[in-house]
Amino acid sequence: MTLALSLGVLLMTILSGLNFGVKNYFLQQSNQDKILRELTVTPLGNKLELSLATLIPKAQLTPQLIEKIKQIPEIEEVLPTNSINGISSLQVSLLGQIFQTDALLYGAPYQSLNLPEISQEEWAQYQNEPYPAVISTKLLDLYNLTFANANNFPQITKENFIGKEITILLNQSTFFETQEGPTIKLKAKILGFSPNVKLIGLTLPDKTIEKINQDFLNKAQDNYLDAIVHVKKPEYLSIVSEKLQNLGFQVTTAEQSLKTVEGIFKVTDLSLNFFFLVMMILSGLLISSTFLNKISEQGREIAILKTLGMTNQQIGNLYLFEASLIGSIASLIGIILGIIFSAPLNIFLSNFLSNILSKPKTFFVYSPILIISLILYAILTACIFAYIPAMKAAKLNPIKLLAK
Amino acid sequence: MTELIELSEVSKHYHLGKDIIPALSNINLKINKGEIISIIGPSGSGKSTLLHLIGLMDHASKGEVFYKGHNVKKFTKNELAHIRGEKIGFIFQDFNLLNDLTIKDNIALPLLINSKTNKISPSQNQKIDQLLNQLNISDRFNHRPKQVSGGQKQRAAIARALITNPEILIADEPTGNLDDFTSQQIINLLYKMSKEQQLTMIIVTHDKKIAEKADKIIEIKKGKITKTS
Repeated sequence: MTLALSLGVLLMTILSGLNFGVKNYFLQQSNQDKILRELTVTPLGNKLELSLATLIPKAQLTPQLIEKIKQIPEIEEVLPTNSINGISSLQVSLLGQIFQTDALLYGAPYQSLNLPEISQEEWAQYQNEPYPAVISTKLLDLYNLTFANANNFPQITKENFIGKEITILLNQSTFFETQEGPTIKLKAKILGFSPNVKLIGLTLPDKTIEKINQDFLNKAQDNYLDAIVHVKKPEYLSIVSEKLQNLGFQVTTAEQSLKTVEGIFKVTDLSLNFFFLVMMILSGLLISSTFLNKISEQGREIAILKTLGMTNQQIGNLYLFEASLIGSIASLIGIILGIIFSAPLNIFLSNFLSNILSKPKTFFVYSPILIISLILYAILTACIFAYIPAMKAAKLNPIKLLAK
Repeated sequence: MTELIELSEVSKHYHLGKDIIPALSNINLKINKGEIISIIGPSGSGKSTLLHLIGLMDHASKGEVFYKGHNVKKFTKNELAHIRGEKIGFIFQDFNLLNDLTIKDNIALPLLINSKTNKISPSQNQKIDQLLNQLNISDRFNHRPKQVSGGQKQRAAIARALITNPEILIADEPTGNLDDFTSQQIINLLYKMSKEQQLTMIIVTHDKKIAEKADKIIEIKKGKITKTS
């Protein structure tokens, strides 16, 4: 009985620890002070629309509009994203093969990268080739998790990419026969991976994009895709959001993204709770049947205790105390083993997902609240399911039992 | 003399399916403080049923049972349990010691049940040692019931019954599982201690020699008291 309950608690410890660890990681990511003060601004009707292989923005954010936003007193900084005014492909040599694909080129100011590995000075080298560039962390994860696995392509690590030179082929599409002008070859160098940049494409300094537009595409930088806005204090978010909406912009706050993440975790929590309920019922039924057997075997002892003056309540409490003791011991065994087993599991998961960048350092996190909850859960399970047998023991007739 | 237990027109029957099995009918009995009463009768005559009613372990189907003038029907289950624990000592034919406990712990059990702190006080501990000495089982205090003889088990059961300083001692065929020599020793001990402590003792026995030592002999046949002497 103790072993079965321990096994249940062990499984629950591992699953809860994993759920808590992953949840903690994502919530921590979303709860960073800067993110809590952040909102993304796009003009109405400027939502990016997926059309087969390319993303086509419907409208643009002009420098005049950016200036208007900057004038809002509660705003600390505005970080607009621009893009090249034309088509482009990227060519890169990786793992002995040359990859080429259509790709969008975005421009972002240093502050929006949120990438401490890259210094502001490196990002400021926007004028000379190879231009500094970053790729979305999520893009690499997406490639490794889906595309590479599905096509049996090699997995790409962060190290494969860092320091790699990429050839930008301006005015050239890999998939479509369109030619807006002569192909211009430019070089960019990957400096790192940022979780904040656009998912599909290459992000260069905003000034590099301005320069490319100006020098090679003969188009002055006059509009932006969107802008990240940081307000001075988190409590200004709603005021600024309202002001921006009144100016005709569409606003997405980090809080909304957080709610989406929380929504996903509510589903995992519910599934986990359902699993715990099933475990509780299964181990509970085992506890019930074991206690019923035990009570029928201990009938004579119960009768003796009753004859010696033990009340029905004392008899019942005796079994409930035993149940809570079993629950405590089982939970402690389960929790200790769960924590011990989660160490090799953590190593396994880290190795298994070695190419995934968006992952926590520790998959399993055990908070005191989680441990106390598991102990209480095991004690409650044992007591709830031992309650009926305990009451049965309390009501046993000592005369009948002694006569046997 | 102070009256401890009174049974007035008491009948007891049991249900066996649809059948009603009479165990006792119209019993009238008064038990006074310090009295030693023996109950004799053939098997199935209702001796044990009568003992259960006197020991407040069972309720009468008809009639009234009084404990110190109070109708026991008015007591709650908990109150009855407390009276049993503090005022009545039970000695059984099968000893009914708990095999997992030592002799000393078995003796201490009623004290623990009645204690609010679940602890034995030093004076209670002294009382246990005194009883162990008196009953000549002090060398067996740390043994389990399975490690001692029948006579020693019954001595431990007597000590357990006496540890709470009860008013009434109820012995249900206490020598039923003992040889003649040990039986004699146990009976002498019971009578001696009852007299010394001015205990009320009700003893159920088949043995006329044992019964004759009592102040009062009640003969019971087919659930009725047939003779009182």
